[in-house]
Amino acid sequence: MIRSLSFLFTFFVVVTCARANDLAVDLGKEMRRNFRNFDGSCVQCSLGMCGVDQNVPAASTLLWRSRYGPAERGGSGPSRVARYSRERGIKIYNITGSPTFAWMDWAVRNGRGAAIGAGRSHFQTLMGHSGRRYYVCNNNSTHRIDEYSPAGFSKLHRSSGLWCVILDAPPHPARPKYRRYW
Amino acid sequence: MIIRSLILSVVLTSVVDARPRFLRPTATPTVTPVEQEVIEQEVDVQQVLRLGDCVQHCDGLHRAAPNGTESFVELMSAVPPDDLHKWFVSVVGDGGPESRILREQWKTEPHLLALADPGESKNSWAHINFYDSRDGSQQFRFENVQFTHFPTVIVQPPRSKEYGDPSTVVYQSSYSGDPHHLSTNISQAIQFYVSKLDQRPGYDSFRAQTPEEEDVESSDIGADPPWDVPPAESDGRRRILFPDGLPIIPPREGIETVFKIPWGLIITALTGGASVPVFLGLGIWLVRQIRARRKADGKKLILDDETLERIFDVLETLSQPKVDEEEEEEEEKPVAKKKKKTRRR
Repeated sequence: MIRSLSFLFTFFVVVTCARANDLAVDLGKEMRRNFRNFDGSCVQCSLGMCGVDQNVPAASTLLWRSRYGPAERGGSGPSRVARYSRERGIKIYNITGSPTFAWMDWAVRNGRGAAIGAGRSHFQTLMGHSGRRYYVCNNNSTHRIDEYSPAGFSKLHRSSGLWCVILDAPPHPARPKYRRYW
Repeated sequence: MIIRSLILSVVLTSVVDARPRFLRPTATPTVTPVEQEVIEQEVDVQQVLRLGDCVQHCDGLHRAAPNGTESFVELMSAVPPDDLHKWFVSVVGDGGPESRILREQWKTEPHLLALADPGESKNSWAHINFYDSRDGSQQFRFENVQFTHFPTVIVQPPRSKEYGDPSTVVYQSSYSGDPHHLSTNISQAIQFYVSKLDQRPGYDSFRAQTPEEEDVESSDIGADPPWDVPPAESDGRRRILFPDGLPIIPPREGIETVFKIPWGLIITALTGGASVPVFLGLGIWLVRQIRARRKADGKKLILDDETLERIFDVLETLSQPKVDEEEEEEEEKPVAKKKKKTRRR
């Protein structure tokens, strides 16, 4: 009994660690909380999270007025995203239709997040992909990261219309730590 | 009286806005009538369907398109190649003149461009990120790193884990103003790191550590960014003063001398040649050893490098004349003995 319990505990710890490691977007709850969707700005909330993650201040400050431009609030379509990206000097890939799946996989595989259509007329942030699970942060509940199977993720993405936005910027490095190697 | 109070109230409401920050009006964005309809919804699903299979690349150049329509559309057949294997170069600046100089030099200097090209990320050998130490949104990334000067350059291994833990600081140094010197130092550090990596037991089975989770209680989004956004221009108060540019990681002494045990001194001390300079040499070696370890562990140092070197210099100069006097005495002694011997005869 004890042996099986300890095995289960170890399995849980290993799975949790593996999941945490494989997330491309490594923002803490406190930072994610800044991107809660109060007024239907889900696209900018999702893109803003990616902006912080990839150190693109013009994208991370989309929701607020800043030196990069005015606050961009409310709903968006691909053309509006393209317009404000151009005005603020943000490099993006604005993808619609069936290529979105390949692009989302590319983004998280290479350490980038993606602002994706997820849910009925809604946008969320794709945080990572591990094994056969997808991790998505909903800007209506930023305190948690939701986990989806490939089928569940596909259904979630299709329900919003196939659209995703990926920042054309380098991914963030792992948080640096001093380790003696010399 | 009524008019005066009305004017006062109008002035007060314009100065003090009592509404929550997120409800305050912001500067009007350039919204087209079509976009105004979209703003009412969350996502313009109709437009997404109309566009069909389309990949649009906005190149980030500031320009206005006529009537808000996107005029730079590029149909791309495939996703870009993976860049998981690229090393990371992070330049942490403070908006000062040195930081701006390095950023500008990184766009033109061939030695730096060979390492990382900020303009052409696809063709760049390494990923490069320019961070501003005043940017509140990025401070969590460098919690475990100590900065002495800005700009500081940090180099880390790729995410692929091909070269060990991606969080390892392979190279850290402030900038001396010489791009060639910087690029040479970075290349040497990477070479040194890779050479050491092969010798480490079990690095193939490396697994990264779990990032720490933080508890959050409440949330709020304001009209202004919730962190300090760095200003566009520096305050200009700092004057250009580049530090020496010697790498902190890996330490120079770490590569060359720290781990060379001074066997000569030890043998001299053990074989009866113990003297003040010998013990002083051993002491200096020990202090340097401890200091290098503390530096590597990221602990705070009691004295800075310059002060310590000065102390060592003073100690060495103090011990030097004594050595000479002893040598002179030793040289004189046999003569005296000889004299004594001649007297006996």
